[in-house]
Amino acid sequence: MKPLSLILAPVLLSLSGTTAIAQADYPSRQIELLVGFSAGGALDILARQAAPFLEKHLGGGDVVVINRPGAGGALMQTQLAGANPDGYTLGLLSMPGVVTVLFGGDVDYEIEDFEYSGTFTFEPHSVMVGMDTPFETPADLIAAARERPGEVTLGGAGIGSAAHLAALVLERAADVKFAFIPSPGAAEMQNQVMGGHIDGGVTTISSAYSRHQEQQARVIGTLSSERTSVAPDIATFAEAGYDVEWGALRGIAAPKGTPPEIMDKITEAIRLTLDDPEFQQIAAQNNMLLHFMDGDRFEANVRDIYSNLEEIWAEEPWIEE
Amino acid sequence: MIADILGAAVALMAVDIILAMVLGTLVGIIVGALPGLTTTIGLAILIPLSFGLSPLVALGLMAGLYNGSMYGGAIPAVLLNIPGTPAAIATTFDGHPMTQQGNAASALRIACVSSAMGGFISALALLLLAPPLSLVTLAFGPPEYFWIAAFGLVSIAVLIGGDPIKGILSALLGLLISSVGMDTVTGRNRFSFGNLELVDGVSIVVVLIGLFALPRVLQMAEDATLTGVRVADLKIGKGDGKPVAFGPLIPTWIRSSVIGVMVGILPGAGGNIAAFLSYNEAKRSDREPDSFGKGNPKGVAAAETGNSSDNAASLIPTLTLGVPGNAIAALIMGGLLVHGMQPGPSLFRDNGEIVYGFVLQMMITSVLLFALGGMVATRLFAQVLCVPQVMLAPMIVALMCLGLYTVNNSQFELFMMIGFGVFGYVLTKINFPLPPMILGVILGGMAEQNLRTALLISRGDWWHLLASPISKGLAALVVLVLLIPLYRLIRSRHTGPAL
Repeated sequence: MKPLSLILAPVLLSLSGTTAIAQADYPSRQIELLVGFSAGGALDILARQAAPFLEKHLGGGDVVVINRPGAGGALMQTQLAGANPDGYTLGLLSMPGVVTVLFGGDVDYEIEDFEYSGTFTFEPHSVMVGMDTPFETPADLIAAARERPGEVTLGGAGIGSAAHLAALVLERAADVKFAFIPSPGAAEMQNQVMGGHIDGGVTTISSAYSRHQEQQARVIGTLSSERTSVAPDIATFAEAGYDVEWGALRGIAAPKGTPPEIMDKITEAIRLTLDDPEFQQIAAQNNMLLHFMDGDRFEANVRDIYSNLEEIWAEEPWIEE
Repeated sequence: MIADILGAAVALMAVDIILAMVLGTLVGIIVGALPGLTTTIGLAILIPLSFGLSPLVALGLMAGLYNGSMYGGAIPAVLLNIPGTPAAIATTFDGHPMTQQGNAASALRIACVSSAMGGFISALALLLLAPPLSLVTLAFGPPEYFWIAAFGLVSIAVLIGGDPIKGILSALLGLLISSVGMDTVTGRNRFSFGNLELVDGVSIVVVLIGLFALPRVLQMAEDATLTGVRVADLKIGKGDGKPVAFGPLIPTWIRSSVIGVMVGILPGAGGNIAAFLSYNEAKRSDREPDSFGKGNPKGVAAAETGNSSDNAASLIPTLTLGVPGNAIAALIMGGLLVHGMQPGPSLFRDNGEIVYGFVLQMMITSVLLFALGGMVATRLFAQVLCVPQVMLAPMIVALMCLGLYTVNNSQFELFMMIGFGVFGYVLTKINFPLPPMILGVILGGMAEQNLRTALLISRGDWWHLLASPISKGLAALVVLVLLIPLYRLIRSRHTGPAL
């Protein structure tokens, strides 16, 4: 009788052989791109518009968008963290949402559970106010909040959402207090601002800026160090002396343990997609702010956000326990 | 504006655009008719497929699908007592009794004509009154929404049925279900038991299918009717001896359209609330309110006009303000964005021809319902009744599960739906009315969220709830609805025994 190793050896060899071939072949079948929000939202639109370009630049294998909404994206992220790390299950993550849900909830994935491959967009948050409010500049708003602490109403999507944390970050940078009014979503908040029910609200610049251009609301500033290319006439809070950098960073991640060869291919496909003039045109139509980061920079960014939030949570947790 | 509308009308006269509208409407009717598949899912699947099409072809498909599915929901509601979409629940109240009396053909025809009528009036409102109506949308803040929800909740009384205690319990259970999930004001989770799947609360589609479709299917299996009803018995098609009298329905159509349009322009309300409110009003204002729920054609007309007249109207805030009011509007807005159109005040100015084209398509596809819904789909779907119920039941369950799973790709929701189904079956057996529960689920969250947001804005001042004239008016309506039955009771005691 042959020793067991002799019988197993060819099996093991062929197994390792297939993995190597699988990596060289990648992608050879359908890739699922998970999105943690419903169809029709900003993240879903990005996924669906990028999918055909990823397909093209990966050279084979369909990229199918799968919506797995719930718990602010946490359901999808949990599923992604537990998926097979073979490069055929990817997720489109939106920072800081992926990190904020880790605080105060029942979420049991960690930011270390993912391999980060690259980003598509970075959209700073911005503060919009009603046309009837006296606020014209970041300084006006901060001065009012300082004079009447906790009385200036600022809306945004939900407690612990990216918009809520943006308001918190701004409060801390300027040492003031707003009355944060949570709403079910950014759309409801915009209606409340336009109807004069609340003073202002926080949302990404690309969605706020359309309202500004239509003169339905006034965007007084972005929470970024530099002005954005979609809204070059909008000042930054940094210019007014409040050093804040807060926005939605969207990119692709895979489950921990996905082979580096495959990760490199995905990063390259994202880079080529962002360089594709056809994709750039679609992005411009949708007011997307394209911003490429490779995997390492993406991951470093996620870690920064995490340590930032950890610090805020330690001092003033935004959800009572 | 007139030049744009005429230009748009001319642009619509192309073979591919007309085909798109016909196809969209047919697909919509099918999507609506299958329990579990809703308008939202249909559009979510369609829109990415339409990226490559020319704008008016893509928008024609969307308009058709939207209008078609609102009617489609009525077909299983009438024939099987299973609402195809949440908005068709009120249609079952009188639609199915009509079928049981052998009037399925009339019921379907009334549903179809009423849907078409509601959709047409709604599109007319969008065409002519969009800018002024969008101001109404903005005038509604958290206090006003609270009163709308409160109005819906007090209207539940009309649906309670014979046993008030059971009716009230059912509504309270609905309110309890609506409190599951994250508390939006504090961010804390309620009744989620550490389960992420429950953080967003219980989806209305899960409750709907669980409570309204599954118990009905279990009932079918229990009856084990081996022979289906033959189509000939249903008097469907031209052989129908007695034409449906549409004249008496005209007041219902007008009242329900107005209610539907007004509910439509309020973001977050939607077709199911429109259908319930217009059904309630039809019943309340009728000379014989007791005839409702027993196969009164006006009940079907009110429900179907109500849910369809919400359609185009709900796009008013989306198109004129650029802010989508519900999931369907968000999807259509996504569809417009893909074709380079930014919804907002300048939309009609910058892209007049295409936007007016879309509005006209909403109108045309409503009219198409007469032809497609009345002649083709109704006869086709009525064949369903020929299938023996023991075979039909598992097929419906399979379609329900498939439809539900498509929404969120969630297995948990499937199990939850089955749980609600068994619960609903037990409740039906002990004669618990289910409609109050579903209204509790729909309105509970809306009432709570807006009440607490209003108090957050006013920093605890309850008078803020009555600050605006709209709030005062709505609050007065709520009080009136509560007091009228009391007044009638007292008066009948004075003048002798009631009926």
